[in-house]
Amino acid sequence: MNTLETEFAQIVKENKSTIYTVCYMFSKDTDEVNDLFQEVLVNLWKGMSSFKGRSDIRTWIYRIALNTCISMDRKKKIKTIPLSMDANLFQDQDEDTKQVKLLHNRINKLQPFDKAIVLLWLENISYDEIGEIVGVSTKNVASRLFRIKEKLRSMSND
Amino acid sequence: MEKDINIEEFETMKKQLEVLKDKLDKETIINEQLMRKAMKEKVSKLHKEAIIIACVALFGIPYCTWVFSFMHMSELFIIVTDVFFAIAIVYTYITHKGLKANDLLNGNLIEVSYKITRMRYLESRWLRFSIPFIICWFGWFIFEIMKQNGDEAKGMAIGGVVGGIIGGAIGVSKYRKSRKKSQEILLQIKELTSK
Repeated sequence: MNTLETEFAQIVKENKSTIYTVCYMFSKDTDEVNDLFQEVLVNLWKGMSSFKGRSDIRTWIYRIALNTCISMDRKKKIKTIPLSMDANLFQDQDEDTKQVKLLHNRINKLQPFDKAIVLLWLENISYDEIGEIVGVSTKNVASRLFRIKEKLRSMSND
Repeated sequence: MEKDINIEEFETMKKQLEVLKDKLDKETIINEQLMRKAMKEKVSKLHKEAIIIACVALFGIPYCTWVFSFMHMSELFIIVTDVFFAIAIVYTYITHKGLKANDLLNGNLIEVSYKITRMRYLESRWLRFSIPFIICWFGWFIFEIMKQNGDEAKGMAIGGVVGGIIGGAIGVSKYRKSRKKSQEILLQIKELTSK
């Protein structure tokens, strides 16, 4: 295994829950999560050589994961070896999964960019960083988040 | 602004996210040892796909000319088909120009979505032109075949009609879906960047 491959394997290992969370929030079923997960890993691998620590690794991973989930053409899938996680967040019935599903149901009703913003906010990422990842000003992030929160609140009142 | 929002509810959401991440942290990626192999395999498949598309673009015109000449089609029909093929190749190139893989991987969400959406929009605009063209071309194709008479010609015409109807239906459905998705994303980008 060369240095780049070792580094890649380590990055995936350390950030798999972050990547999988993003994929899960943009999916409707387990197959879709696994397809997106694999697609994100491919894009991370393709971008590894050009990354060279230009930005924070977490920001870079979010950027690639969210870009992939928002823009990927779900029809154009090239399947290779299945790369998935054992957790079945759509079918398991334990209390934790029920809580996770509640979160998924709410977030999944939002539009793609709103989904991205709220996910980053829930991860305690600063408004500045969210703005940088999404490509809008910090002020814009704040006002957008306010609207998203209102949307989410109205959903819970429904 | 924040005080209007039910803080407790969003704290619950944060906790739910933590539960999710804790759950995932305990998991291992299936076939972890095959991860590198899968990545390389997939990237190489994508490269192969690009090579096939380039070959079709490069040899498509001479191949069509040869096949249609062999089928005794009229010269005008062959020329129109070749010109359409050439326009399709040039249009595809222009549509995808500027969509560099590196930009897509490192750009911000709005920048990347805008580029991809623009590409999809141009693709859907192409379908708006190409679908009516192909329907007319198809009628002409059937006419050219029927001119030759014989059972073989009839068989080809029937096969052509069935294929044409299926292809047309797929094309129209793709056009509608692609256009709807592009418009939704463009609308959201506009909304996000207008403030």
